[in-house]
Amino acid sequence: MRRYSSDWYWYYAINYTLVIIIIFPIYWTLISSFKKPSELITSEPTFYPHDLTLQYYDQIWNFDRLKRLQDTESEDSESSGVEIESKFRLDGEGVKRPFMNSAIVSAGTIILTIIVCTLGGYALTVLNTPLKNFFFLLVILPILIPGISLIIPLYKLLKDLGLTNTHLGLILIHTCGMLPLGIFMMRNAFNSIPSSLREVAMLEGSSELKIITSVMLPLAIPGLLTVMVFAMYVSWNDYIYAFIFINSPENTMLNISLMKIALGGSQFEMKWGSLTAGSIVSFLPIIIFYTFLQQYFVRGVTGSAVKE
Amino acid sequence: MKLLVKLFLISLTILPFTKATSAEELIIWSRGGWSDWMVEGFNKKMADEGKDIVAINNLIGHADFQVKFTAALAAGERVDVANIDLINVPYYAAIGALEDMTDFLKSQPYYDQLNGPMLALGSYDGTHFAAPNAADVSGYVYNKKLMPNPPKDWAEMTSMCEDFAARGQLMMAWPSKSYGGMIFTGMPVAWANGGSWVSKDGKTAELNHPKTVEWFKHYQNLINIGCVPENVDVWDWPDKQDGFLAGDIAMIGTGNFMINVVKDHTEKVDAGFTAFMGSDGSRNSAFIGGDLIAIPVTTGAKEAALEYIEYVLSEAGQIEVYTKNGGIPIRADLFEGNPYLTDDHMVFANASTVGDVPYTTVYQELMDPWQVANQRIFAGEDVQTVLDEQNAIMQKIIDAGH
Amino acid sequence: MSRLRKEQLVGLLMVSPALILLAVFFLYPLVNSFYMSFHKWPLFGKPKWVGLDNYIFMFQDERFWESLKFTFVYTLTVTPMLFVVAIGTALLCNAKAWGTTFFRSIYFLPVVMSFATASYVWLWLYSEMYGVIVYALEFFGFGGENKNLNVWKTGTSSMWAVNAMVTWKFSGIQMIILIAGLQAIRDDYYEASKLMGASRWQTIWNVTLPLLRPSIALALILSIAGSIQAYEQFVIMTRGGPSNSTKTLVMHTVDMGFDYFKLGPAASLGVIIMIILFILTVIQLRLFRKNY
Repeated sequence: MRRYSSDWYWYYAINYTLVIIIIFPIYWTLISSFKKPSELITSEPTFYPHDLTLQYYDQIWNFDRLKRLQDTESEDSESSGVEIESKFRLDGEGVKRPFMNSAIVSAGTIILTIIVCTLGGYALTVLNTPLKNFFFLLVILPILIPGISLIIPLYKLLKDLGLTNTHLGLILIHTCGMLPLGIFMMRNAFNSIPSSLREVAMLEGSSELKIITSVMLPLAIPGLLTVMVFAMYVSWNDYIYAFIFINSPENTMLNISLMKIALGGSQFEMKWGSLTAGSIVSFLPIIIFYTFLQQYFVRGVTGSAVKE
Repeated sequence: MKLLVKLFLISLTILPFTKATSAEELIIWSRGGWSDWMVEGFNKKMADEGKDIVAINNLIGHADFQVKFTAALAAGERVDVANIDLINVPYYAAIGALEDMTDFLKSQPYYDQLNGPMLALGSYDGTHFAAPNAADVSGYVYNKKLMPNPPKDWAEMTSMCEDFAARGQLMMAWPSKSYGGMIFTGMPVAWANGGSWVSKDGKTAELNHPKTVEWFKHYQNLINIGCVPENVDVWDWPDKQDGFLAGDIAMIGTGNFMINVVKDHTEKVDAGFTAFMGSDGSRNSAFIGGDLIAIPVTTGAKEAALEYIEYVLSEAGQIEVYTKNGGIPIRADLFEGNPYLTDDHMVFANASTVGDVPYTTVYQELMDPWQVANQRIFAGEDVQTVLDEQNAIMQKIIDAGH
Repeated sequence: MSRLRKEQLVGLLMVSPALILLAVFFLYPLVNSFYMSFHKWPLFGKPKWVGLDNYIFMFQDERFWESLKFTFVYTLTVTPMLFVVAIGTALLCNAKAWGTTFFRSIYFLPVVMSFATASYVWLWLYSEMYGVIVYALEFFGFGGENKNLNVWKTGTSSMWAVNAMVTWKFSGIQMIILIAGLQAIRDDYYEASKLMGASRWQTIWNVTLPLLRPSIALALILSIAGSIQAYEQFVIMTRGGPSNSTKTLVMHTVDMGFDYFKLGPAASLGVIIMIILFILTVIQLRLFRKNY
């Protein structure tokens, strides 16, 4: 810390300036999601909501597709006595179901990604795998072509495999999309670990899997966590695959639902309130996940320092 | 980590696998939010009639609908009923993506009452492939707090514009950047003036039609007078809508959905509605947008699909569901005595009987020269030159075909 | 079985999940798409072999060259912007000082916002009449005395406006890649550099950056691939305007495929983008492997 003491002021001045610049659009999104419509669109912008409202959050979280347009009618439809199977009723569920769907897909993607990328990265770095460089180049390929270019062949493939409209289909696609970054990151992480550590463990007779989990992975934690954050980011924020490959209301992903609410029922509508509130709703989980991983970032780094 | 694995395993067990039901399922893809009500009403009707049909609404929304629909068609995904943006229907009909419903439509007693331009858009070579479903009709909305009475013709509009400019106020704005917005709220003004976009058969580009040129010059003149934002050539839909809702712009082109939107903004806006008018005010017009309803060839339940369409076009569907949610019925016989059609709605309903919508199988591709024409003209370039140039591009696209 | 042989087998086994995923969910659709690019491919019915017609059609299309040119200009401008901010924040956050965790979290925040939402929110911030950024810019004298600044007025200003949003949104991704790289550098290198009397800048230049090479390579490859494939930000914010001056390659591809329903030419565009990026990536990998 002493190293920086002479530039103490500069260090914090730069950081706090950046913080203000970077936070501002997010702050603006946040306060806008609490403003009443008349305060939302005005030529005298307010920098904090003078008249707090939770109407957009209420609308999103308890979003009732049948209630949106006809407030009075919903009671009649309850009392009409017609029982429609719960599966086909969409009212009152809000975005809870889409939220769960997105959580499942994200969790699946994270887990599958770290397994596949750790093994792959290890094999392509530490081990003497044949065709190493060729495989590595192959694995990089998915970032080189826009996803939308492959939509139609992918759709056909998923349909043949029976994976359209399923979470598993999305998980596999997202994991495949994570391969370049994941394997690259894991490769860098394993590369920086001295090979002597592995040799010692091998002399002790450990198996390759044992070496990975007990020796190598603890040292590669910053890389691993980064891969997890990215996997979460990629699957949680995905729009195009979730939009195209999911066809039933009960399997809809969060982003799709939020966009539908924000863009409203008609062609040109733009509901700033719902849009901002929706983005905060989709924003929070990933922030919590990141903050949760932060502590391990630090622990991982100090841990490796101790061992060395 | 273990926690994550556990969470994942738990969640897998509650994965919502599609339950097998005895009822025949009808898969509906739709764009407008009101479709939930339509499906709910249909299901109720089926239950009342003791029919074993259950409709499931897959609300896709307006954004990127045709991306999803195109991908689904190419992959052979089953869709029983699709509400398609009417503008794309000629293309889908031309490539044989939709089922023939000529007999069904012609046997309906209200066949003559269906909106003409919409019906025409759903047909190809004399065969009906799609029925009118939901109309989004365009017109002007004006703020009575800033403009007590709307202009009746272009001359009045120009003189009002001078007054506004003299007071340093904004009178009008339009979304030059949004090609969809401009064809929805700009082109009808030219139509009302006798102008044209493409010929009726969709074979000739007529962007440089003298009456269309007149309209562009008229709007360009409003910018020069100074009652329109100087940068209107790069304005988008939200720019002018926000400007109107904040009470800073007196009049904009919009659609019937605006009747609902302004209800949230009564503090600054006292809204009135009026139809687009030609230069002498003798004619009105509107863009008849919205959805046509069709049965894709990938359907698995054609009979049930027709049953649903019948419900959509019925009085129950059009009045109790669609009009009640702020829509304009697509049957002219349902205007009179319709309890949900307020005076504001009637402005749009009447305009829908004289409105238009272009017929072409390459609509989306034509949007490119159309957008360029709008942006360049409202940035101040010479109207005739730009329109001649872009018209030639449009003609080239039409000749190349789909 | 020799030890080497066994290690090779284990290696193949370990890399196989990745390869299988890749083969099924990427290579297979890719080959399909490649196949499509040599056909007239209607939505329905039998595709017809047309050889290189789709490619010829595309190369003769002015819209393709315009979008290619713009995409390159965008990539060339946004990549340095992203990288400078990313390396700066990464170094700031790697300092051993109070608050780095907090700063790191903040710098990463915009990344997790969904791209579409971010584009819409910035579109709002840039709004001529109600945009806060526009107020601020006008306060600093942009837009002249009339205060009628509109960032979308020209193609160039539109691009810089989008660049600012993209830098805000994505520098966090590169930052976190670089931080992971920085943390893998062992302290003894710094100690050695310090013992040799190097200044902080010298240490960054001679020790940190060379050791950071693999991470820098990854960050740059990702950012170049991302910028060549730019789509959402321009669709939402500029709609390709004014007058098509900000239309990107992917926008053109989507237009071709899903708006104009020309699936063959759209597939050939995808192949072209892939080839461009492949060449760029191989060059970068070469550059960064030197002396490493």
